[in-house]
Amino acid sequence: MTMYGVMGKILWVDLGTGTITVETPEEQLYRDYVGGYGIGVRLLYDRMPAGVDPLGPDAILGLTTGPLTGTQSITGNRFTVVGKSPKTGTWGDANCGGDFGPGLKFSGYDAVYFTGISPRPVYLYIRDGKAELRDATPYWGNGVDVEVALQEELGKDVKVAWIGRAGENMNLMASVMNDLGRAAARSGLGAVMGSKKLKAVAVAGNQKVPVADEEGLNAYVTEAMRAAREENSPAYQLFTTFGTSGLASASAMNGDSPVKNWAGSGQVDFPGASNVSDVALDKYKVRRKGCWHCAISCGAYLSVPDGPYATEGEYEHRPEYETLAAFGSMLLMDDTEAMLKVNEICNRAGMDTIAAGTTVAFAIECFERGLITTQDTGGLELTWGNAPAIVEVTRQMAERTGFGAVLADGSAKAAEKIGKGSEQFAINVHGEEPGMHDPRYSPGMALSFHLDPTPGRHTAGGTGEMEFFTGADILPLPEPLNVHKRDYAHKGPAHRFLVNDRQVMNAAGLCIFSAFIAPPDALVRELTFVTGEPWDIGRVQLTGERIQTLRHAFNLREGLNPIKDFRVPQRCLDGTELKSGMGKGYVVDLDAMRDSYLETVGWDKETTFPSAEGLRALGLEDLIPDLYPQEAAS
Amino acid sequence: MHYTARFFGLVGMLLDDPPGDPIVFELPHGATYGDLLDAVGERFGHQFPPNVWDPVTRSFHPQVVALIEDRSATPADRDRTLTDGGVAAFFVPIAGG
Repeated sequence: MTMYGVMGKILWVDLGTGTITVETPEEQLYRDYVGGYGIGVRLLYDRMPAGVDPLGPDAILGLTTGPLTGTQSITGNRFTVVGKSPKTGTWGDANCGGDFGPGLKFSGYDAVYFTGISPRPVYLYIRDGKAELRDATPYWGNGVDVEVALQEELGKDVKVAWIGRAGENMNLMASVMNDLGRAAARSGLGAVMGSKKLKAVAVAGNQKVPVADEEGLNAYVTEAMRAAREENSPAYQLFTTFGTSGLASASAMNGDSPVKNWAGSGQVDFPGASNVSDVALDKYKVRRKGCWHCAISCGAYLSVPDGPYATEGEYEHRPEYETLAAFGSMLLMDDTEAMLKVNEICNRAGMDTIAAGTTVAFAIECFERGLITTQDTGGLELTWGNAPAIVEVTRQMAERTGFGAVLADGSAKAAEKIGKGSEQFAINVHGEEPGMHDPRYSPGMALSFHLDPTPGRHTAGGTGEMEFFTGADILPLPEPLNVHKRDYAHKGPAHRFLVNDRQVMNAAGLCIFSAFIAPPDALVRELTFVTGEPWDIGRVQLTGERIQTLRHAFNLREGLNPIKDFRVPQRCLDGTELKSGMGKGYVVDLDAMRDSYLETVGWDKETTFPSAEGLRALGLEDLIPDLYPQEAAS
Repeated sequence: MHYTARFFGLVGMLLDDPPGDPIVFELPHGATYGDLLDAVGERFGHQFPPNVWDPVTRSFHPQVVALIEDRSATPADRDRTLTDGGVAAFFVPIAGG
């Protein structure tokens, strides 16, 4: 029987022995966990015991795709990196567009998983099902150049996922990169790749993703995108004109972006926000650049032709919103070309810009408060908005040199090294710097930072995203989910609905921007067309909750409790000192939101353990012996 | 009274002033959000992208978020009274990246 939407094979590579094996998973695995991090968390939960050193030989790292990856589905081009995060010790994942995900499927595999540590730098080369490890010593030390070099060596059709200097140096904020600078940024999984001495994965092939109803899919997508173009909604035009940079200055002013290390107010502290946003960046545009077959194409290449911040190569990716906020409003840096330079440094080194910018903000606040001096920083005047110093310290972080070595693993580790009470200025959730969306503006974001299994996450679905995307006080959902965003005690059902939906969207291989452009039924319709399986909202909800619960259980098995361990800093919750923005005057009641969500999903309000009954309902009864050994024994 | 409006990104991209720059309106004392929209339409209606501003209803597209003095406003809020010296912001929100 043909399975649709998937290649039906995954690859296992033991980097310690060089052994490569092919696994053909049961069809039920795809049905129950979809793909991407859904199947990823199932396999890692089963095959990687608790307590594994994420940078050690027993850690498993996966590069995964979903059933919609490599199909004509709207934004069907994502891949997801999965593993145990070395930054937080939790479940880790990060997804990314570009061209690698479709390329991996066209090479014949839904995913590739790595174990062990190679004795020397290697890369994995897959072409039309045949896989081999090759020496990467000549490329060790390269950034984005390795992608170009491998394409020259192996063929222009090769797609490459790679790490830069940050990953090689095992910086805990290292990303896995592809497509000349797109980042699977979060969770520090580039460091895991570096620990394994795995420089890159190069894929090519001409295998086709089987689609159950290709005609139906193409007709649906064609009509949906015709509607988006011809109706020319402002969101569609904004994406295609400015990408996510089109929001940066507005967000700094309205309170969505954190300002001055989460302690400032945009209208007061960052009047130059428009210098690092939309039109200001557009002056440097070379051309638009979309991910593989993306009908939205929100990206662009930019170039600074000369001056101290001239682009190193021919062009670089336009900074995304998260980067513009992390290095802009967070640092009060409004120098356009310096912004493009830090973006280039991070992309070439493979470094998470959210974590990097937030860590520089921490360092600046420490400097401004006298906790560190130029003697500590090697002469760098780390003051608010000081572009040359910010560029230099970012470069040092990527290379783990100078004062950058203190900062290279993120704000939590840096605070441990600096001491002197500096931890109060290190804004992170269990070691991960939160996304650039202020919960005082969109309160549900605090719940995602707090309860998503990858702490600090801003793309985990939930009410927060809907709050900042709509700006509305009342969530635009059907009753009874249409609660006021500050009705903290009753947000659980809406948050559950949106989180579950996002789990399937992520696992399927879609970009979340599809949710802003495509019709609301796109996920269900596209999954049905592609897999030939009957998908509806009920199945999405059940499957999404299964995936989310298993990601959460991964952390529970590690002995973690988000209530105690994933604490959201008070700066992110208390708006009483804000001078402007939508969060001014509010204090987010995270406890009430959490209790409402935990009650809704049936997790214990103190331990966050799912009930045994709930696990059975999700088809996760195999977790009961781990979470409830006494019940299992009886 | 003086009232400031800021049109960000897509909303303000065709105006003479850079997007996001503060633009001051003179409004009668006790003016409402509806009065501000009328003044905005009169002054800039012909300069907004056509998919952003509806000259018939004198309102922005539903995807344009309006913040009036740091609080969200909907078309149903046209009668909301403005504060002298207050600030309004208009933008199309997107997320992530």
